[in-house]
Amino acid sequence: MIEKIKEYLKKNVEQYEIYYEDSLTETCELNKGQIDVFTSGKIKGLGIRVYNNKRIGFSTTTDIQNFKKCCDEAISIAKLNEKDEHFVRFAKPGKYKEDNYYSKDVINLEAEDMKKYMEDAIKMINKNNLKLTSGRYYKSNDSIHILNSEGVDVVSTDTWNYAYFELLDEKTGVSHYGMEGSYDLLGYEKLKELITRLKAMNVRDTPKTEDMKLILHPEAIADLLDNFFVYNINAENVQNNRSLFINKLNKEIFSNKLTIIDEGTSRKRILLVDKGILKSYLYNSYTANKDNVKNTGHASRNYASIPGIGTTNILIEKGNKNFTEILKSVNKGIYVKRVLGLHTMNSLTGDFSVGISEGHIIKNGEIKHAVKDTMISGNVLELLKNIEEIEDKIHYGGDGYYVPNILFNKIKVIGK
Amino acid sequence: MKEFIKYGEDKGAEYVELKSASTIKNIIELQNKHVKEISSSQMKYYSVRVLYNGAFGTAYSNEQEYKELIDKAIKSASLVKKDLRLSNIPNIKNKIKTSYKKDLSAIGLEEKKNKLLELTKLMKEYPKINSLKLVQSDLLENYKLINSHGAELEWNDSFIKFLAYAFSQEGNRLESYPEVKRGHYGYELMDEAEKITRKALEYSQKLLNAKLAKAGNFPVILDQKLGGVFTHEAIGHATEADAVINGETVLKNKLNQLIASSNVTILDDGTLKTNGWVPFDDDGNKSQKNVLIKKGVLNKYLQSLETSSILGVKPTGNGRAQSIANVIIPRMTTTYIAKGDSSFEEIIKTIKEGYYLIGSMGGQVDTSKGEFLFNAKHGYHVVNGEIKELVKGVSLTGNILDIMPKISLVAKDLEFGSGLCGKCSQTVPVSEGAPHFKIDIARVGGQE
Repeated sequence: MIEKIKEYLKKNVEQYEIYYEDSLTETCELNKGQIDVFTSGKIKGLGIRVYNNKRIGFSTTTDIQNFKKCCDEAISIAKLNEKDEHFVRFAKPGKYKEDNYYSKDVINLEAEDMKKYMEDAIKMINKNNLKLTSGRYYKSNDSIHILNSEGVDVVSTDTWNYAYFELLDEKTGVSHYGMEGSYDLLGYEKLKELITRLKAMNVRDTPKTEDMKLILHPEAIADLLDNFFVYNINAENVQNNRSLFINKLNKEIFSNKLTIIDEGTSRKRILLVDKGILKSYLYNSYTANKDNVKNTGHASRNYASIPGIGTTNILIEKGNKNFTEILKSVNKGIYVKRVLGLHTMNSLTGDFSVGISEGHIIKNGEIKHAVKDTMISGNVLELLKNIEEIEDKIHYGGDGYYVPNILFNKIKVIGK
Repeated sequence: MKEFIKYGEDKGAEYVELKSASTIKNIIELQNKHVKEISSSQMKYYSVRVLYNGAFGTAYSNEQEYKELIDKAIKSASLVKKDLRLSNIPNIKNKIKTSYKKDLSAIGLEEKKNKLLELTKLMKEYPKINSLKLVQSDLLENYKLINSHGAELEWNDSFIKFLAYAFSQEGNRLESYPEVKRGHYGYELMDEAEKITRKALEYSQKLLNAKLAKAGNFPVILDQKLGGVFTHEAIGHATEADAVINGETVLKNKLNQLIASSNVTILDDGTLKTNGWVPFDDDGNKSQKNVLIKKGVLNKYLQSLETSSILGVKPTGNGRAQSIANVIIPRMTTTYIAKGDSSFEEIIKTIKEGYYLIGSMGGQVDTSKGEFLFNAKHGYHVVNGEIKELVKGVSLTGNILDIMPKISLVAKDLEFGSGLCGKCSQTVPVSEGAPHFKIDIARVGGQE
């Protein structure tokens, strides 16, 4: 089939790229502590990009037999696009990622194995006098074939699986959620942590409205970076005057305690922020050509989309003090692990006010009861300028963020 | 398709449901005067759901291979130990076509692009605007559902979305304002494009000089859009029957109890031809008007075929899925507060110091704890019954059971918004509405 598509495009366009994805998924949904339903999916998808008369066109389909229609659409779209002076050509061989995230064990995972994993998880949850209200085990296995007129012809295979848990403590009525995720077989580390964290929320109270010190947990930091930092450092937003970091390269934007590194798909370490100074934006090949800089390798896509800009692994460099020392230095503060509604923040100004879904009062260097019906508000830029301490250990905060706990000098806590 | 129903039944399935969806989608995105993206897609999907030995099994593919899908679905259902017995299985036959004034397929991509280009000329009238993003996307879908109880449903839908996102700058200060409308219409939605774009341009500029709101506990008045999102987040999600069955909502065991002030009536109506319209739900049940809260008393939960069978009640037409490949769960359609008898002016006059909050940047709810948060696009400080200066960065948080009795005044001016709702990794279009209403005291998150 791919050969036929190639022949058809060769005849009709100057340059082309075929992105053919074959994906198998298996999902197991759980409800009320029981396996509820399995869903198996099998999708073949085709994404066609063409380049004609200096113009790019893109179209996508799952109706593979009808590939000519998809190619023709891409060709007619190219006519509507503007001349693209920044586009040079589709990638040459050797420029596509080589490092696959792939596990044979995950490919061989059967529905029965997924069931067994979840049943063991339920046992662990029940033993702790908690309930699994809902959950999911998802596994996918993608084969991606990229082929273009510049000679690229590569097939890569990726695996991914995750288990999602929503737990309820019936005694207190409090629930919590979390997930294990990997390209390889899953363990139970995150689930164990989730159980401990939910149990620690058995006493909840609303504090008075006042300013206090703030420790943000790696999950909350990841959420903050995802909604604020990654938006503003995206080269496309910078190029379109939609970023707080316009003209800020090599200037101080954050506290000099903060260093942020990206470890992209190409496994290159890219320094984004060095001791508070902005060192690079995140580019894909299009935005890099436009700024006349080296591509940072941050294209992300699937068959149904054109390459946008995404991140893979973002890391904050660790500090000097351990968590206990940092905690001891706080007389009055709040330890926020998870917030509610950060996606509603204004990324362009950094202003945020969000609910706390998991947070604890800190008193005389000790973590006390959990909070309820409480918000924190402030400005992310101000917050990141006023870092007091960074923990000497890095944790996984979710979504590809590897970050320590961080102590900030002040946050507005809105309670009673 | 019918021959495959028999194939499933012969294999021992107690219930067989077959679906197909075929879509044609276009997206045009402009960045200022430049085309950022034009793309099109032509997708086909086929899916099967069976009930076998008391459990559902589902499978989907991009190829029409119903036999293979039925085999797979039966195999996975046999792994599940459940004793689900369906009641009130739909058996209606209907063919529906979304009505529109301007056929989306009759207008070429070039004309659609030129319409957006024309709109970018408006930027000149707004000096502090530095960037404008315009997106117009549309979707034509043919959706089919048949089941072993005789249901035969088909929906030829026409769906369009227009977004204007304006960015402004003054010195080092940046601001932005999005305005969007989507729904089951033809290209006639674009007759409103200029109005939508102007709103984004105007408020993006205005926010440059807006103050940040004070944090604290204040009386608030919500406009129709934010009031709609409040209704959706604070009440709608908590009435979804899967959350009730799982014990994950503060509204479980609260049927027929007074949970809100007596001037609050809340409905979910899938028959309204708004963004949340569904002529029939993904289970094949006809949509209907459901009264969730009647004069403050909790009246009903939102049901899918599965949850209504478990709870022994009638389906409410709220079984929905993001696509035919996803599991069907209870979801909202168009959720709103019914109009009351006050007026906006009367309500404002009752506020000594508080906020008038407008528009929504989105929200989130934890139904088990009953906590919710959402963010307004902008607002006004209200002092001694008068609307004062513009404020920004203001959000509202609270607890469902605490806040519902504090809705004291409801106006007559009901309007609907058009949004997207995310739940269990699935997104569906919904509408939410309300008249202006007052909450006597609410927790406002501001920066001052």
